[in-house]
Amino acid sequence: MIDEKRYDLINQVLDGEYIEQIDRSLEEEVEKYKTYIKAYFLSKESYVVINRCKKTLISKIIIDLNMEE
Amino acid sequence: MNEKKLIERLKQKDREAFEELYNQYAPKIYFTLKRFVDQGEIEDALQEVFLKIFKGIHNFRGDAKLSTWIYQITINVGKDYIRKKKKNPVENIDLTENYTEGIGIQPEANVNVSNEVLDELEMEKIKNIMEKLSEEDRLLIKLRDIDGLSYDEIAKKLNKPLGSIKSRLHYARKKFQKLLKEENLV
Repeated sequence: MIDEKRYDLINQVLDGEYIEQIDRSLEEEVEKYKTYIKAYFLSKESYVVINRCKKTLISKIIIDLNMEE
Repeated sequence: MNEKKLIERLKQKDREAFEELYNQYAPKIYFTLKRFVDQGEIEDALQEVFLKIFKGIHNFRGDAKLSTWIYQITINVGKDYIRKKKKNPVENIDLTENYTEGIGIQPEANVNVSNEVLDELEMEKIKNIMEKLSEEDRLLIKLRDIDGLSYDEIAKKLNKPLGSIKSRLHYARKKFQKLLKEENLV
């Protein structure tokens, strides 16, 4: 299948359109697309949260541990 | 710092060691917790995991790998959150919705924290590829493929014609897939 046709089909699948007799490799490509996109945006989101928490969390833990002694 | 030295310094409450452990494990713990907790709870859950790690490190004998031990703690904290949710069925979460396939750490036994489906090299490639797209293209992909907005909703949100949103997103997805191919990721 030529690439352009393939990209059109993938686009349709991503938009939730039903494609009759979708081939397995195309299905895998769609799944990979979804995984990579999710990974990217989740890592961006995690970066923000993780950095926001870092200083306060470590300071809080050190204070907690010192108080326990 | 190797693992043994890191553990020794953690036991001595060395702040630098705490930071190193945090930098190394926080993203992986975050991805794993996302399977169990809502966005609003993620910071508290992350804090709970690290508190347990830092409090428990004194009893860590090194029989298992540090990553395996951290994995167990993360899963236990995640499960506690699920149990809390079950006590309040109105807030019951949908695990299938929160489960993000392919990233983070796998919930099966005998898999440690560093065993990711997407390794760091792949993740780096994905970041580079996404950065080759324009900001607008990334936003369109996020709104449609992550947030699940309809084309109509996106058009209204961005105040742009429906047709141009559709064609632009098609172009962005195609460009992303071509770049994935160039990097042998598909």
